Order: sequence, then C-alpha cells, then structure tokens
Amino acid sequence: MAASGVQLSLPPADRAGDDGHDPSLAVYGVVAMGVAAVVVMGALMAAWLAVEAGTQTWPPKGVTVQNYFGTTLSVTMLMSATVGWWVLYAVRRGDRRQAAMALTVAMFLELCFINLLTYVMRGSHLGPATNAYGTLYYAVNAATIAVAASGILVAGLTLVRVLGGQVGPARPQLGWVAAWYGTFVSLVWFVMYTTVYVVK
Amino acid sequence: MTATATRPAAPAEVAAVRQPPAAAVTPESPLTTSDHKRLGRYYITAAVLFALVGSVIGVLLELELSAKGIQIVGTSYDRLFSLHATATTVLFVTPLWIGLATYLVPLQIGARRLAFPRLAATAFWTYVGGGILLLASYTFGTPNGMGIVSSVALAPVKGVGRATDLWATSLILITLALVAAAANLFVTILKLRATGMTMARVPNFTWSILALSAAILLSGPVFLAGMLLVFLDQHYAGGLFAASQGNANLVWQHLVWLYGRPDVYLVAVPALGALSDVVATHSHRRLLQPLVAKGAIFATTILAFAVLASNASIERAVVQPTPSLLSAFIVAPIGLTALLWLGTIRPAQLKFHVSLLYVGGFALLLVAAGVNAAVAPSQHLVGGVNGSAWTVGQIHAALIGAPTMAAFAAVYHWSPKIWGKALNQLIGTLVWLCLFGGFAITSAGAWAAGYDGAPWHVDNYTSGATSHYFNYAKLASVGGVLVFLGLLLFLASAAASWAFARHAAPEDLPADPYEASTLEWAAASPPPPDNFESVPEIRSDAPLADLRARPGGGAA
Amino acid sequence: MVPLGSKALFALAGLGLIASIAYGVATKDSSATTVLGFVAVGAFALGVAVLLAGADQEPWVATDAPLAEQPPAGGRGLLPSAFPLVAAAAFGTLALAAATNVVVGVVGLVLAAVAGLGWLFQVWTEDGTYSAGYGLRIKERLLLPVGLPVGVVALVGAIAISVSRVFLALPEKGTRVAAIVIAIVILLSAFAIASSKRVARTALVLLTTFAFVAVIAAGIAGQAHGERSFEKAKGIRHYAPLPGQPSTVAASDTAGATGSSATTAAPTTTTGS
Repeated sequence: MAASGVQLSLPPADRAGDDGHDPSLAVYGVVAMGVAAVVVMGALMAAWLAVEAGTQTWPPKGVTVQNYFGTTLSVTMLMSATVGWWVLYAVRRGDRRQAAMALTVAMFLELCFINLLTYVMRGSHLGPATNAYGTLYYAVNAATIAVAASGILVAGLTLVRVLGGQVGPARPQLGWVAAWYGTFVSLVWFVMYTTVYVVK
Repeated sequence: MTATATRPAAPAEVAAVRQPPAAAVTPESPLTTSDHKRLGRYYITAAVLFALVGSVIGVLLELELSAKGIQIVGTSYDRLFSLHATATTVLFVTPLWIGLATYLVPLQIGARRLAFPRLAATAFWTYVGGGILLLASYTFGTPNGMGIVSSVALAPVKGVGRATDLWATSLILITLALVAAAANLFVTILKLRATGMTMARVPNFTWSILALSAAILLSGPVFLAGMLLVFLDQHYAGGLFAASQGNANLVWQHLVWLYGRPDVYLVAVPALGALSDVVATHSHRRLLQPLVAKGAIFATTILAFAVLASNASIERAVVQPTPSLLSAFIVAPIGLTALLWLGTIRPAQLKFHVSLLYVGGFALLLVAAGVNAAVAPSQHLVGGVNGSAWTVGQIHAALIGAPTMAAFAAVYHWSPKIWGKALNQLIGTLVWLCLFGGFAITSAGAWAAGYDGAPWHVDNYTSGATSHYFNYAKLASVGGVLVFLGLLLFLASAAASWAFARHAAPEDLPADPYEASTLEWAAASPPPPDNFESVPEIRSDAPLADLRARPGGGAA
Repeated sequence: MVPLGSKALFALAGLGLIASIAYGVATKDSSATTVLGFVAVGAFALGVAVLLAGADQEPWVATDAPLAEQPPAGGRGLLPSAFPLVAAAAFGTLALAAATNVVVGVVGLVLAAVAGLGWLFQVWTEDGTYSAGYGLRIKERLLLPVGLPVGVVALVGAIAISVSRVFLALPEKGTRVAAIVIAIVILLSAFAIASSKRVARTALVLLTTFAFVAVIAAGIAGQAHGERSFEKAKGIRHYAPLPGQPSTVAASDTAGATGSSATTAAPTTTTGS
C-alpha cells in the first residue's frame, strides 16, 4: 500500500485477532446503550409534552424558536450520520486513509453541531432557573450535547485504532460501531428536534 | 434418522489462544480485577453491607414510632425514610441479583468471561461509589423532602440544595451503573452461549436475567431522565416541580413511575428463574415444562410494565404495590411457575438443602402478601392502601422480603461454586430464621397497625389507638433487628467458607456436589480464571445430565 | 426462524405499543403515550438485535453420536486494569462536583481523561496486531515529536499560571519573599541532586511529582483566595512628550482587579407565560 509523505510502516490491518475474542460484541454493546440513550430522550420529550399540556405554551413569551437553526442542526447531524456509514464503507474496502478522513469529518461535524447548539442555547435566554421550560430546555440540550460529545469520543477512539491498523476488512466491527453510534447520536437529536421545533 | 447417519464435519477449530504479554500492565488485585467471579462476590458483599445500613435506619425509624415523644431521628424522619427505602431497593435487592448474574451467567452458558469485563468492573465501582455518595448526601445538610418514595413531586427549595443535589446525582450514578451492567449481561447472553445452547436451552436463571436486563435497559433510562430533571430543578429552582406548575406531578409520576412500578415486580423475575434451577437441581429432575416456565418468566416481565396503569389515579401509585385487576394478573405467571416447581418435586427423591428453606420462605411471604392484598380493600384502611401503615407490611413482605429469600436461596444453592465450599447449613438455617422471622414479624406488625387505623409517613402517632400503634412499632423494630443479625451472620459465614476454600485441597472441593444438570457445575469449585478447559456439546437444557447418560462420557 | 428471545421482546414491544395507544386514547395524556411508545420502540430494537445476532441455530448431529468437547465461548480473560476504578472515581467526582464546586468538577474531568486515555492505551497494546517494536516506532515517530513539546508547554504553562496565582494572592511584600524562597528552594534542590553521586530514580520522580502537585495546589488555593487589591495609580506619565508636542498624561489603572474572586451572576428570571 504505497503512500506519500511520512510512512510509519504500520502492521497489516486485516489480520484478525487470534485470541478467540469476538469483535462483534462491541456492535451489540453499542446497540444496547444506543437504545438506552434514545429512551432517555423519549422520556425528556414526554416530560416536555406534559408541561406543554399544563399551563404553558411553547415557546414562552419573549423566546423565539428559529427554524433556521433547527434545520441547520438537523442537516449537520444527517451529514454526520451519513459520514459514519462512509467510515464503514472505507473500512470494509481496506482504505485506511479514507476511513481516517471520514472519521475526522464526522468528528468535525459533531463539533460544529455542539458549537451551534450551544450558541442557540445562549441566544434563547432560557436558562435552567428561568422557568419550567427553561429547566426542560436546558436538560434536553445538555443531554443532546453530552451524547454528541460521546459521539466525538467514539469516533476519536475509532480513528486512533484505524490509524493503528487494528481495523480493516477482516475486522470491520469498529467501523460498524462508528456507523451505528453516529446513527444513534443523530436519532437522539431528531427526538429533540421534534420536541422543540416541530411540536409547537 | 438411522444409526449409521454420517456425522457432519466437526466445527472449525478455534485458533490457538494467544498468550497475554509476559508483564501485566497492573498487578492483579481486588481493585484492578475484571474477573466476573471476583466482581460477583464483591457485588454480593457490597449489597449485603448496604442492606445492613438500610436495616439499621429501618430499626431507628420504627423505634421513633414505638413510644410517645421519642425523638431519635426527629425532623429527619422523612429524609431517613426515603434513604431507607432507596438503600434497600436500589442498593440491595437489584444489585444482589446483578451480582449473582455477573458470577453465574458466563458459567451457565459455557463462556470464559462476560462480553465486556472491564465495563463490568466500571459498573461495579460506579455502583459502590454512587451508594456511598447517596448515604453521604445526608451529611451535606438537611436534604429536601422525601425523595422518590413520594407520589408528589419534589418541589425545589433553594438553599438546601447541596444535599438534595448529591442525592439526585448519586441516584443517576447508580442507575447508570445498573444500565451498564444490564447491557453487559444482555450482550453476554446473546453472543457468548456455547454452540448448541439455543435460547430455549439456556438455564432458567440466565433466561430470567435476559428478561431483567432488557427491562432495565428500557425502564432505567426513563428514571435517569427523571433524576436529571430533579437535579436541575433542585439546583436551579426553575420551578419545574413547583406546586404551582401545571402537570408537575404528572411529569414526576411518569418518569419515576416507569421505573419504580415495574421494579417492584421485576425483582421477582430473577427469583423465578433462580428458584426454578434450585428446585430442579435438588429434585434431581428436569423442571416440568421448561418452555412454559420460560414463558411465565417473560410474562412476568411484560406484566410488570403493564401494572403501570393499575390504578386509575396514578397520584398515589408510584412505587407501592397496588391491588387492582392488572396487578392481580401478575400473580398468574408467578403462580404457574410455583405450580411447575411443585410438579417437579418428588418427595422421595428430594434431598434436603437449606436453599429449599429459603424457597419456602419466599413462597410463604408472597402468599401472605397476596392474602393481605385480597383482604385489605374490605378493611377500610385509614388513608386507603397507599396512606396506611398496612403498606409498610406489604412492602416488607412482597417487595423486599420475598426477593431477599429468593436471592439467599440462590446464594446458598450456588455457594459451592461462588466460594469454593458450601456455606454451613446449620448457620444457613439460623440465617433463615433471622431473615424470614424478621421480615414476617416486621410485616405482621405493620399490617396489624394498618388494620388498626395507623397512618403511613408519620413520625409520631398522635391520634387513634396510639398505645396499640406503639406496640406494633416495637414489634416491627424487633423484626428489623432480626434481619440485621441475619445479614451479619451471613457475612461471617461467607467469609469463613472463603477462608476455608483458599486453603483446602482440591479433592475437598467437589465441582458438582448435587449431580446437577446445568453447565456451571462442570467447572471446578471455585472455577479457574478462564472457567472451563472445554465444555460438552449442548444438545438439551440439561447438558451435564446428557453427559452422564452417555456411555463412556463425552469423548469424541 | 425467530429466536425465543426475539419473540418475547417483540411481544413486549407489541403490548407496549397497544398500551401506549390505548392509554393515550383513554386519557388524552400525550406524555404517557410518548414514554410508553419509546419503551415499545426500544423493546423492538432489542428484539431485532437478538434476531440479527443469529446464534440460535444448533448444529445438526446424529442422536447417537457421542458428545464432543468444544472450547468455551469468549476471548481469554483480560489483564488486570486500574482504569475501570479510575473511571468510576471520575464519575463519582463529577457527581460530587454537582453538589460542591467547579474545582471538583475539573478534577473529575482530569480523572476521566486519564481513565479514557489509559484504557485506550491498554486496549491498544493488548490487540493482536500490536508488538513491542511497533510500539517503539509509534513512540519515536509520533508520541515524542508531538507529545513531548505539547506536554512541556502544558507543564510550563501550568506551573507559570499556578505561580502567578500565588503571587497575585499574596501581599506585596509576601510576593517578594515567596519569589526569593522559591528561587532558593530550586537552587538548593538542584545543587543537592547534582552533587550527590547517586539519586534513586523513584525518589526523584516522587520529589518532582510532589513539587508539581504542591505548586498546582497552591495555585488553586491562590485562585480561590482571589487577587489582592491593587491601588489605582493616577497621573502616571507613560510616555515622554516628543519635542514640540504638548505633554500628555496617560492616566491608567495598573490593574483593574478589585481583589474579589469571580462571582457567579444571579440567574435572570424572566417570566415566560
């Protein structure tokens, strides 16, 4: 595998682990924890709907919900999730360079997402002490940011192992992990998007 | 199928196990281990230690009610009530089952280890840390309100925040630990079963853990969300749970309720699985209708969620068992499983073991709770079933007592595997007397107080037949002391067995003292680090029985 | 063929969905409908995972064939690791930070970073593709060229900031004394190490670690204490007037700090109706 620039003489990437360990365990672990994360967001959405059914309408007076930001955040998350599947594609083809690039792009997109979401939070003037909606808004955003940050972490760990030659066509499981985790992160956002921007 | 049918080619050999690097990164110690067997023992020990703390608090609460004007806990009654309830349910019963599962599930399915050993270690230490923080939250000040025991939302009070903040975050931590442990067990059962061990052939305890793990993965996150909102509301006083906030109670009940209500019944799910294995082993027979038993276990899990809607007014139905049609349905699969046990037992073949005493205790406490649930609606309890002292009896019998009996039945049954040497049966009988007697006496005292009109959630009896109430409270205190002594005796017995086994010769520690039929008894007692050298081919739900039935054993 | 576990989970999902819809129709409570609906979706997803795991087939064998032996499932047991404990300590510290202050939170984040990076490193070295030679190459070509400068800058920065916090917290004369004392301590320590024939590596590591921790702790204490108050200096001529230009007096504060630590702003309370 010829490469220009610095050559680290990495070991062959597609040598399967020979210790009897089943690498697909990680994929199922991610699915189990992903289900838990989506249920957390569903519960927060349920709380939101309960408050809305009470005395308060959304958005409260003085707070503007800009669909432009919601759409931009959704598009960013969609792109990030798609790139996650690009990672898997590259891993299965044995193209380490492409996989590394895709992972970097995914991390960058999730970082942009967190950046914009934080900006939107600050601009809403709806802090956790403001009122009931403030507490809920803060909780929903904080949970989404925490899940997105964990997505960056997972992508980063996968990137390190891709660069180290520990992920390849014979061992694509971490590629599956990156793809599924990115999908779960975007699912978490879309639950929040539906709650905050769609159900008004 | 003829006797000369050609056998397909043997499965491809697993590649030789690569030896680990010569020098370990860190030395093996209790703090660095990821061995599921050690972690399982630690879970059991930690859960019992937390139960000891919970039982001491329970005794103090009953003593507070045992005479007029006593001020042992004073104004902290509500908070300690919540701490007692939380410590015994969240820190004792569920983690005890998780600990047993952590130890036994890989052995029962023929695996070397859990799917994620280091995640299991992280989950354990997070549970211990969360438990310590929960107990320590009280030292940060006077925490707010009654916590999750109350049906009414925890209204924020600024200024008392730190203790309540810590209480909420520690509950978040413990729930995270339980969800991670559940995910680990779920994936382990899914992916690490021995070849030939289909889902229909897994032992009943492992099957029940699969059901419990799935339920925790679905209900635990809802509770997490609720506790996150509680923390934010308490910390910032935004008013989400303020009395004036519309639907505040609805939010509270939905989020705490979806965990609290199923959890009341979910603690019975692993009990059904474990006791099915216990009864079958000591009866020296396969369980009658094993698939029906598996169906009943999962039906209990499904119905545990269904009882969410058991009370038209969910106001008062957060964490207490509530008699209604839907909660009555859950008796059906439990009763069916008990009938299967009875059908499996043949008195002539039954060999007495102390674990069977605990099975009997489990059944008796459940029957007593069931009878009282049927009788209570006609007794016009003061405050109804959710406002009367009667509920304390119901909780101690059905929610805590019965699952504790079942868990100890499992511990005593599997003690040769867990500690290498079976726990002393005489001491086990004494422990049973203390635990069963303690729970029975506490429940009886509370039921009697309830029928006599005593209310719940009061720190002093000021009206009604107070002299009777004081006596009932004294009786309940005696029960609490017995439970405490029983737990202490158990810990001492376990420590003695462990110490003996460490110095005993291998021939003194038989692998299979019961001539059992499930796979965990194929491993040595206690098992070596990788559990098995090899496991027999699985062709039924009783692989060891198949092995013994074959002439010449299992040589290919 | 659908495994038994999948069937059970699909049953749970189906009943959950029915309960969600029925409850919503009966009570018009959309929040309960939502949470029950998500539980149903979660159960369905777990059922699909069980289905896709595909490990519920039994290999065909003749009924009279002797039982074969098979290796147990799962990889070899993992080596001991302290990082799960460190990770749990990080979570506990972060939980404690919610009830205490930000400094505890920072400690929690540092612990989490240590646990995460250490765990990654351990998993990396345990992988079948890792070898000592490869590790050495990574260390020489990546970690040292990148990590060493970054680490040194971070270390120097941490020490400089910590010492500056101490100096800002102490009174004016105390600052001078502290500076002289620190200089003397460094000089004497360096002299002692340089003049001794043999210095145990462990002792040196312990000493430098202790010194670093002490400096950082002092910096945190200084930050918590806050800066001392600085007098506002007026009428100080900063610039000499150029020939032909009128003299200007640049009145400036030498430091605007008023000696109090950073305060958290009270939350704004806006009523959202």
